Amino acid sequence: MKIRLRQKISNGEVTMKKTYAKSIVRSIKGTFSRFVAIFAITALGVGFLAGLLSTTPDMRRTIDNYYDEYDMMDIFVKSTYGFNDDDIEAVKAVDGINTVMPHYNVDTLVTVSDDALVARIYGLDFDNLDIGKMKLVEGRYPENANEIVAEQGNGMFSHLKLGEKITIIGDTGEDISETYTETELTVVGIVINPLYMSIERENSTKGNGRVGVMVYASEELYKLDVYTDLFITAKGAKELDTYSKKYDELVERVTASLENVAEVRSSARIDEIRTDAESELEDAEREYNEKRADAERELDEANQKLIDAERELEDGEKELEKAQEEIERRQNEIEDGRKAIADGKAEIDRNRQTIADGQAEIDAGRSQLDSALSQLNMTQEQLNEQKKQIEDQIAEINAGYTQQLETIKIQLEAALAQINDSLAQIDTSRAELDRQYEVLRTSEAELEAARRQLTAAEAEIAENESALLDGERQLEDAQKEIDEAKQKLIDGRNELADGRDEYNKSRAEADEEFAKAEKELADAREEIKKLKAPEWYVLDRNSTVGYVSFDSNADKIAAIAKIFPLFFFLVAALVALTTMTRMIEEERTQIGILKALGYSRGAIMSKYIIYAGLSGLLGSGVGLAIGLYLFPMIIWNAYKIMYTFPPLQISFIPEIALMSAAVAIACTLAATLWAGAHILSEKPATLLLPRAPKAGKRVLLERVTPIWKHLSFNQKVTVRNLFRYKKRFFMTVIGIAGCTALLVTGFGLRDSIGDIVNKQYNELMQYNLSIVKSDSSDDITTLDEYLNSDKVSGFTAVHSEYGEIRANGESVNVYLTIPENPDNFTDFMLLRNRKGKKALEFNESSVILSEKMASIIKASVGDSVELENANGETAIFTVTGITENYVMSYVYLSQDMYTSKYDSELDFNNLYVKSNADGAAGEDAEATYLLSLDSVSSVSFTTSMSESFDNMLGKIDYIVIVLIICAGLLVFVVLYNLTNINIAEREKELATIKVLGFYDGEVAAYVYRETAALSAIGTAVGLVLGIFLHRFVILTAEVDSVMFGRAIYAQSYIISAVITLIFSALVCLFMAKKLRDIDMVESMKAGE
Amino acid sequence: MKNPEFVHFENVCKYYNDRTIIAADHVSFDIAEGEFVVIVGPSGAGKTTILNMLGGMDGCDEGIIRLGDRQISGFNKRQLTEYRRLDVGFVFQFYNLVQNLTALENVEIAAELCKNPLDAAETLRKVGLSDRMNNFPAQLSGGEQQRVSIARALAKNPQILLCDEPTGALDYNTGKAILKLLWDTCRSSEKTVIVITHNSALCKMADRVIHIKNGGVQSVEINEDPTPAEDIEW
Repeated sequence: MKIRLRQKISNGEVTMKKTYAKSIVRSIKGTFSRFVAIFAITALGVGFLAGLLSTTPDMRRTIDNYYDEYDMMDIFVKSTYGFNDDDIEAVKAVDGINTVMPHYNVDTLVTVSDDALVARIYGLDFDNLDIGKMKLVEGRYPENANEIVAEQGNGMFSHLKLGEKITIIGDTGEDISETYTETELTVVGIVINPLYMSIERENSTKGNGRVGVMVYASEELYKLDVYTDLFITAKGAKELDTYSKKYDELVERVTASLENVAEVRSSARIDEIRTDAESELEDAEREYNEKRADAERELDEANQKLIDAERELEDGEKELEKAQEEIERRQNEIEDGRKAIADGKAEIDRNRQTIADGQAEIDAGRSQLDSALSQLNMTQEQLNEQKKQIEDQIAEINAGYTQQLETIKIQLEAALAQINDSLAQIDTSRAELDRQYEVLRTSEAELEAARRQLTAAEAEIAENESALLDGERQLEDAQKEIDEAKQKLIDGRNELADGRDEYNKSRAEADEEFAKAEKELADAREEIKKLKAPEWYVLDRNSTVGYVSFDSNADKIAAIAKIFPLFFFLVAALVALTTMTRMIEEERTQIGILKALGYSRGAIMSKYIIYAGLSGLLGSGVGLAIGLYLFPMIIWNAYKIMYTFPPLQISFIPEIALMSAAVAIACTLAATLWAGAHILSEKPATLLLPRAPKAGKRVLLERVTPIWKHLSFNQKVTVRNLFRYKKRFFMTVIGIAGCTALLVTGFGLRDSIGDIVNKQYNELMQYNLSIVKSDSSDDITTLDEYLNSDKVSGFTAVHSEYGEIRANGESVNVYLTIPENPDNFTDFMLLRNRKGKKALEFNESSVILSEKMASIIKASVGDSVELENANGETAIFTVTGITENYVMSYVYLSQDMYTSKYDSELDFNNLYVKSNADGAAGEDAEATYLLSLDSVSSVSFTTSMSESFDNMLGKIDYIVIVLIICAGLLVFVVLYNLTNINIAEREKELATIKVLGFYDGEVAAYVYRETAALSAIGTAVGLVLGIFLHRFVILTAEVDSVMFGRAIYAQSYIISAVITLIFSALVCLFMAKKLRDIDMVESMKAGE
Repeated sequence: MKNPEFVHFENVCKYYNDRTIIAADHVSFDIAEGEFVVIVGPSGAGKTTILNMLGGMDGCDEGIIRLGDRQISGFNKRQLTEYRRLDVGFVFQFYNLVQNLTALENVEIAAELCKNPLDAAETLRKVGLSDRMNNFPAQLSGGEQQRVSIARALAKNPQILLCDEPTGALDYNTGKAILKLLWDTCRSSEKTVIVITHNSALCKMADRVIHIKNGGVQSVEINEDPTPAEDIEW
């Protein structure tokens, strides 16, 4: 049968050829819009497929060439101890190494016009830049140590301008002059380094943890005696495609060798270092011992001095005592003297009294005597007078009165005898008196002598007294002296006590210091013992942010490239099917005639095969021409937001082009064959009869009388038509659904990526600052003050460690988070089910897994999972909850659960803080402040983490635009084709209703009601399809540590639907003229 | 009483291809209201051109066309559509029914367009299709389809009924039945019925026969005593 068929064709070939060619050309002319429809959808499908498929290889090749052009390193090595000459020589000797370029690479703090930033300053030998060349955009390379070239600012790094200066300030307390020869550096050139093509953040351990400026200085800037980094190229790597397996293998081989060298060098270096350290330690010990001895000696001396002083004091005291005794003795003496004097004085007084008494006696005696004497004298006188008187009288008497007077004379003579007696008596008394006088005089003399004696005694006493006074005065002086001496002694005592105290203190201090020094020494000794060998980090391009993210982005496009074009091909096949079906039906009679004339089926079919094939072929050609250029370009430009890279190198990859075109043409041909199969099997006679019009049919809806009754006739026609032409129905619905699905996917992607930021950082993480405390507790109070200040509205501590979770043969690296306080933990980290948004409780028995990770290990609540902690301990836990989480993988364990299964100690040094810092500047300032504390080891604000996701969002916008354009094209082709066929097929019907008096608008509505209904159905289907496509895309694009939001927002559905319907409306508007132009004369013509 | 110039053509000309083809050459005739008129002529004589102009599907280039007291010539597109919609009932040679609508619906779709339509079901009953109302065109014979087509034209309650070769696609007997229906309709509803045909046998049943030749009116004859449709033969 087949052979015969072919024979027939070949027999008729010569004669048929010309006519057929004519007939085909005429067909194309006559049905140009259909030809264009197949052409356009094929172009779209092929362009899309080939374009997307070749985007990934194009991107990778461009980057490969870019890296090759600038001699990008294959491997870079960092060491915790830097590299000395021996290290470098050892590396150079490694097999497979092409070039080694040692250089400096240090992050430090700098100021750029008063802003403090972290700068990564490379020290390079610009004259011999064998590896890691850069593109000089502006200016020149550094010629002096104080000149730098800066990486072109691309959003992540600050943009430095020519002539701008940066000043190295270093860490607080860092002596920057040890590292750098210059501190003020001037930008003399702007460069682009392929190494930093991504705008993703470069992390730093300095400052706010983020490299702010990336600059390249000459080697002379650095004073360090070892290089910090090595750039290495591997032999033969340049020739390989950097993203190829071969390249990976080659580099891996060299890396392995390097790691061996690293081990050798590492142990050599550690020995060296240990020896150095030990000798240093010995020196230190010696120094310590010396110092200690000195200190001891000094202390001993001080002690001796104290003892001496003590003894001296004691001596002084003893002396003083003696002096005191002396004084006391002297005082006693004086006292005695004083008593003696007093006695003497008393005696003198007594004597004086005696004398005075004697005197008084004498005086009394004298006065007695005197009175006696004077009495005597008086008596004598009297007597004498009396005598004289008597004598006179006698005389007289004698004269006169001798008788009488003789009696009186006898009397007088008696009186005279008496007087004479008295006179004699007086004389005796006088004598007596005289004697007594004499006695008195003697007494008086005696008294005088006594008086004199007394006076002498008195003088003596006075003398003694004054001597005594002198003595006393002396004694007082002595006492004063003694008192002074005593005071001095007391002072001395006090001083001594102080001295003792001080000595004790110094002693204690010294002891403490000794202990400290000894501990330090011991620590140092321990440290030397523990001294880790230098760690060499042998890293390859896979450790650079840009390279890896670029690769994964390229991969994602490759994954998406596999599914998206599917729509276009499906639609292409349906477009071809409907178009060719229509065409074959139109030419039914002609086919019948040809058949009747004896043309074989193959010959008849060949026309349509050629028609469809030609249109498919042309479409493929145009699709390839545009798609291979356009899609890689669009995607490349979209990625340009994230990467600084050269223009895309577009290449023609024959496999991709041929495959895409072949698939597309195969689709159209298969559709054509299918369309023709039916008609060709009919007999020519049947074909020659006009085809019975496709019968009207009742549809299911008509059975639902209440609804059907309410439809207008137009609506009824629409409903019946929808189900009448099934191919068209599917073509349109799938095409429109594809459009809507693409849009839903695009907008949904935006939602999903937006959700990462919104949900993770705004909804779930209630804290905005995470602080990791260091081991140092130096200024822990400052940190506490900060935490309790009004800058912070709350904080909680957690223990965090890295571990691995395993279940169902899958394993995922996770963070184990153990809250110190389970009660308030969920105030800082919201735990909830994603579906239903039901909050999860955190209590003593909680084992809560983050969602993405749980889904990877296929664990659900109640399942057992194996969890390995940071110390390698493994335990089995039962999952109690799964929480919504978008970034990273976490296991939230209660303290009880942890300690019941592991022996490791918990250290709650991770703080979740609700900081009140405002804005980027506020956060930066706070981060800088916190990092300046010794007790803080790292600080991160969630805003900085969310930034990189915002960047992704920008990229997605581009993809959304591409999707909108493609979706629009899809709708256009499909509806254009549908409307074309509709109009062509129903031209007579439309002409008839025009004759019946339908206005243009009504005619359009008559046709477009169907388009609208199909659009609506397609949109509805597309919304559902979009959910799946979106799910597929996010699951493809997602990496293990990130979960994109699963939900598509209502507005995304709405926007997608609206855009689809707008596209439909636009196509309708575009086709309206064609409807207006339908000639009513068509209605007069015979049926088809 | 009856307007003798109900349809009035006066020196109507229609040109195509930039006046190189004269489709209608100073056509003038009048048709009285309620008449059954046959416009007859050989193929290519200009019948269809006159039909188009009369049916409001095309305008004229010169001359005056009037229906009743309204001048159709000079109508713009919109006015012409409205004219077709409200005033003209059209019966096609190939029935031109909407395949996706039942007989009743095909009538109703037209009836919906006008201000004073007749009841669709009633109209269908009148044309003898009371049993076939809910059938789709594909389920009807040619004659039945043409009856639906007539019913559709009638339901609009138009001023004139234009029939383009109404029997052209039908067999002899069916054709006669359709002609009878049209004639009866004309008589019973007093509608002006204009039949355009190349079949001169139909002239006998017409009140007025307009002969067309070479784009012009060759002659107009008035039939005082038209033969009923069932009696004519061809």
